[in-house]
Amino acid sequence: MRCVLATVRTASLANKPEIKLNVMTVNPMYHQTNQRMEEELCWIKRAKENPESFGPLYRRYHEQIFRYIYQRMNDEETAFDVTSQVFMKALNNLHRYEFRGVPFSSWLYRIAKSELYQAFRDKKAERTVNIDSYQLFEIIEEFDEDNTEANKKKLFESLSKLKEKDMQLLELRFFEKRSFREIGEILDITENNAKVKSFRALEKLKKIFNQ
Amino acid sequence: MEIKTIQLDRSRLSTEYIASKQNFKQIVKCCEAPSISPFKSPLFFGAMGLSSLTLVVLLNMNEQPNTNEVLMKDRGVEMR
Repeated sequence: MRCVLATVRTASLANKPEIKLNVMTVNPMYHQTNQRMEEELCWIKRAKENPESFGPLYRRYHEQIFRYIYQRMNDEETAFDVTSQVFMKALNNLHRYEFRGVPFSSWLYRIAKSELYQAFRDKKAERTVNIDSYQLFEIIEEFDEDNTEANKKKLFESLSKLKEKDMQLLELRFFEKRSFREIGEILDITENNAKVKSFRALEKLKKIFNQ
Repeated sequence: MEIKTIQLDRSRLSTEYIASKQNFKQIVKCCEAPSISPFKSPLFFGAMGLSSLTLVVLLNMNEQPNTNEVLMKDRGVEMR
């Protein structure tokens, strides 16, 4: 199930019509209704008093957080370990959590990002990028190129030349179909900044692809 | 951070398999140990600060000479 994101255009993007960043599908899994957020706030309130009440939040987000981590590393067991670390850290620091109008998952993703990079620094895992063929074809379409095997191979090679920071943005935006708002929340930048940075990352990839 | 590998079409783990790896009890168990040392808690610092202040005030009060005695000595009046 995918919904079409409303047209997104910043001043800088409007001047660059060659890359179609404005119309893109967004994974609805990451979007939350007010009712769901209120329900989560009740769980958080209860969990602050009794850690056992954290269970519903754990069950709701375990898979999402695990997939986020496993998507970026090569080892499955380490990914499960890091996921457990994320929830332990979340539960230990729950008293510090304050609702700021963004879903609880954003807070968890930020912890996950920090734990993930800690695992890379500790050499427990290697930074890996996992892509599906259809995602490569989607990017090729974004570049207005033909969906050929040669272009797929060329794009695959181009991706390997990209810097990690740019790759991170492409993963969040194009492979995981997250909204700019959510990317901003995960990376601790503004929504507008997330738009601009995603666009620049895609432009860099296109430049490498066309070389 | 350096990207080591780019993998294409890695097999996707099923939701059921991921769910089978959940271990909430273990997480709660690990979090049950007090995370903040009692010596680092704000309550400890508050109590210590207040008692130190009281001690300093009390010591100062005992050390200060009686003002009446000083005045009388200055005027050459003997105390009986």
